[in-house]
Amino acid sequence: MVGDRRSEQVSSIELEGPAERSLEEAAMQGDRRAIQALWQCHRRWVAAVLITYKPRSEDLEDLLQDVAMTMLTKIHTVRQAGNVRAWLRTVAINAARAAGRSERSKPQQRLDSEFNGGAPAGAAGGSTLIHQTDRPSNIAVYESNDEARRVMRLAESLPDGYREPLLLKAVHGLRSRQISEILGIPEATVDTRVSRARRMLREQVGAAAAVADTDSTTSFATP
Amino acid sequence: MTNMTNERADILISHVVDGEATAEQWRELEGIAAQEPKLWRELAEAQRDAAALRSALRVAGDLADRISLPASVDAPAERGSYDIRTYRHPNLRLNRFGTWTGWLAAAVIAIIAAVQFNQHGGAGNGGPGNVQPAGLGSNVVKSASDLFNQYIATGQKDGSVLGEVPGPMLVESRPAPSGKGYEVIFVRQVVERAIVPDLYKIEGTNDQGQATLARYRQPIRRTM
Repeated sequence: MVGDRRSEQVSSIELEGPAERSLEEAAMQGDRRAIQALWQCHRRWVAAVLITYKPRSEDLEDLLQDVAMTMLTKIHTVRQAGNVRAWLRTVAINAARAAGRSERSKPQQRLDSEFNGGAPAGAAGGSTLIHQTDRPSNIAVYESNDEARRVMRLAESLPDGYREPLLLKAVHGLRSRQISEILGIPEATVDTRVSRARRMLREQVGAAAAVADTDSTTSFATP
Repeated sequence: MTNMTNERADILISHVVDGEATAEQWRELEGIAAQEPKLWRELAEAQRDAAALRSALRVAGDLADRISLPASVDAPAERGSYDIRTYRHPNLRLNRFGTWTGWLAAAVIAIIAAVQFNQHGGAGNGGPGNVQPAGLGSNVVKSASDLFNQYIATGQKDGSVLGEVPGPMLVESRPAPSGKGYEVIFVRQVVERAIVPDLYKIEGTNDQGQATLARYRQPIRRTM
């Protein structure tokens, strides 16, 4: 099988050019090992796209599984090799938005324990139920430290067109050329958007720090 | 700085943050920074923010690395590795692939059960060529499944077993160690029947926190 040999070679996101094209062709023809190899290449940045568009409460792992399943069952519908990255991004955005629609149709209240890492209901604020808008960001699940959590929360508020390339740029090994293929925009536009997004983020981090400083000063001044 | 210089400085900072700045771009950045020393602080802040985002995305990427496609598409080299089919949430919620493979496994188990039932001639009655399961000591027991079927059959005869709950409950599924087929962990539930002299109900707890029992009394039937 054509994917046998290639799947051994593909172990990272670095796959590019003719090797990627031939792997995509094999996958589109139903070669399951080629599909598996492609998934291994792309799943890390797919996670970044999902984070960009998914509702806070939706489980990233569940959405990744949805995208993986769609890739397995629908990749033959991609019209030509070279379009797989863009197609996969669309699949990920659709999965995230479908989760958003599902989220909106759910009751607006959840048990505390669901969002407090299993802490007893009522432990946070003494109430058994909390409103959706009150709960902590689910983004904490994939943040490794407080600084990452703080910056990610601020990045969440950037416009989609800036947030997505910014997060993709934070995926290890993903370069502007690959991001341009994923987003379907020129490489120079990727660089411009990333640099603007970084400035916006710097300003937001600075503003947040200024507010925090003011708050701490106020609390010291209060007897 | 003019807007255009600002924009250019942002792009240069971005290249430095990504480790992609050429020597020429470094010189250009130094030239602008000579006029605007605050650029160095902005560069430091940009690097701090990028490091935080990379850290968050690395964790998300590690999570993504655990998501493999269903078993039928796994490369042989991957067998035995940690993947979605063996991953379970702490609360034992079956994930989406798990649910899917659960139905598959349930169907397979149903087929296997039907085959075994036929092979043993129904509930242990024996057919031509089959071992007669008249008693545990009277025949050669082939497997634990044989013993279980004998237990059901014997229990049904003496009334101590009403039957097995249909549809085994799947706990876990994963590729078999041999690489052929799947290993499934499942629960089979049996409904038993017994005659007991008394029924008790939990009434409350005593000072030591132990449950206190009260005997259940049947309502007295009044005859006319």
